[in-house]
Amino acid sequence: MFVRSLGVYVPDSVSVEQAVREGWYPEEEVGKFRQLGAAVAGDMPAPEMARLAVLDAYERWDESAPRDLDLLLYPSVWHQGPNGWQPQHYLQKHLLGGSVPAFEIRSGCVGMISSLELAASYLQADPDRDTALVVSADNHGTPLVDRWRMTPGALIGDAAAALVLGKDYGMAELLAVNATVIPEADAVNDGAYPLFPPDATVGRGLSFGDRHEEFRQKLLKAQGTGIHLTIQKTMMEQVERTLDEAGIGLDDVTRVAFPHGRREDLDGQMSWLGIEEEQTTWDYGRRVGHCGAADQFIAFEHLIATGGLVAGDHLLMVGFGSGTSVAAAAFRILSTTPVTRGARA
Amino acid sequence: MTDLTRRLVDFVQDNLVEDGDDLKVDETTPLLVSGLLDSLRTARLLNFIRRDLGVPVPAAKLDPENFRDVATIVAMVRELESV
Repeated sequence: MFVRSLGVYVPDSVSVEQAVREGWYPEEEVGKFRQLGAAVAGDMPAPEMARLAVLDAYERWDESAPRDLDLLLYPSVWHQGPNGWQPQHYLQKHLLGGSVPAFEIRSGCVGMISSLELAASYLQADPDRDTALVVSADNHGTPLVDRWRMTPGALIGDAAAALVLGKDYGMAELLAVNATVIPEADAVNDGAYPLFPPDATVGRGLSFGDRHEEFRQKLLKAQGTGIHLTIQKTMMEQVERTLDEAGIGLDDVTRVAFPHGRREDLDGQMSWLGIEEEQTTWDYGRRVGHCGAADQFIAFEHLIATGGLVAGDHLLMVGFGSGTSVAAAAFRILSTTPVTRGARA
Repeated sequence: MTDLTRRLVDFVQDNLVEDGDDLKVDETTPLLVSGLLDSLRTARLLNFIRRDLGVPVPAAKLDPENFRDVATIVAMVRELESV
């Protein structure tokens, strides 16, 4: 499977300095956590951000149109629009028409990586299917979210990313993708959070910090910190399996794209893999914040655009999400710009 | 105490015990139950085993029973060295 094209919509970032001046972000956390800013989409609806990312991908590729797609998958993490409505309908109305099968995917922050597996399998199931689109968009700037404080050490950003997957040719080859879940490390179920009525329906806000700390204390009391080992073991297994299927080793990996999270978590992940900061997407991620399921994909586009990945390089994506879910994908870069079938002939 | 055990005990004492904590680590000090081994510290420990002891630990070995205390870590390292 190949990446035909990548498109993004990443709004301008609001700096941490400004957030401190406005009283949104605690000044003492600036040096401690080393975050620089968060991409803020204002009042732009997430599905419109997705539409712009899809258009960006198709304008770069310039060989096909969304109406020619065989599948659309729309992973998302935050509320997308009115109740009783799904965001893929917006893209069907404006870009795809009604004959392209389209589904919203609720798979947390690994949703975009795990959707690659679904999309690739769907294409492979029928020789007449050629391209599938995975697009994700979230605007967290709603009531019930405090992007500056809801995850201590990390910032929450808004962004959209679109990846057109296709057979036979492209700007990068998707070599392998794997996703799994560690149900016993679910901070909601095991944190005894109420499942009903759902938070949003009763106006309860989202605070990962409180939730994870409560979960951590409960686990520590019940079984020590062995669950951390399980999570990291699972990450290493996903990475080992993905690299093995890709036929490459960690030494062949040029860049590793992690979620845009806390520096402390990144330090751990780098240590687990034995890589250095220069091989990660830390310096980009801390300028835009954690953007739901899109982190690794806006970073992919950023690396391609800024020379951080060139033909022959390998990109490893590692994702973590609620559940606790863990995913990994490996790509080989073939070209820094989309390739057309005509140009290959 | 073997040299390997001593190096691991020293590493845990110097790098994993919080400043101000008067815990004296030996080879049977529980690491997981006590909370000494959280995710970041486990990563540091693995880095130490990989870089300083020269033994990479594969994912299949990352089980709580292998990291219960220094003695179980030593047994795991010995096993990996013998492969």
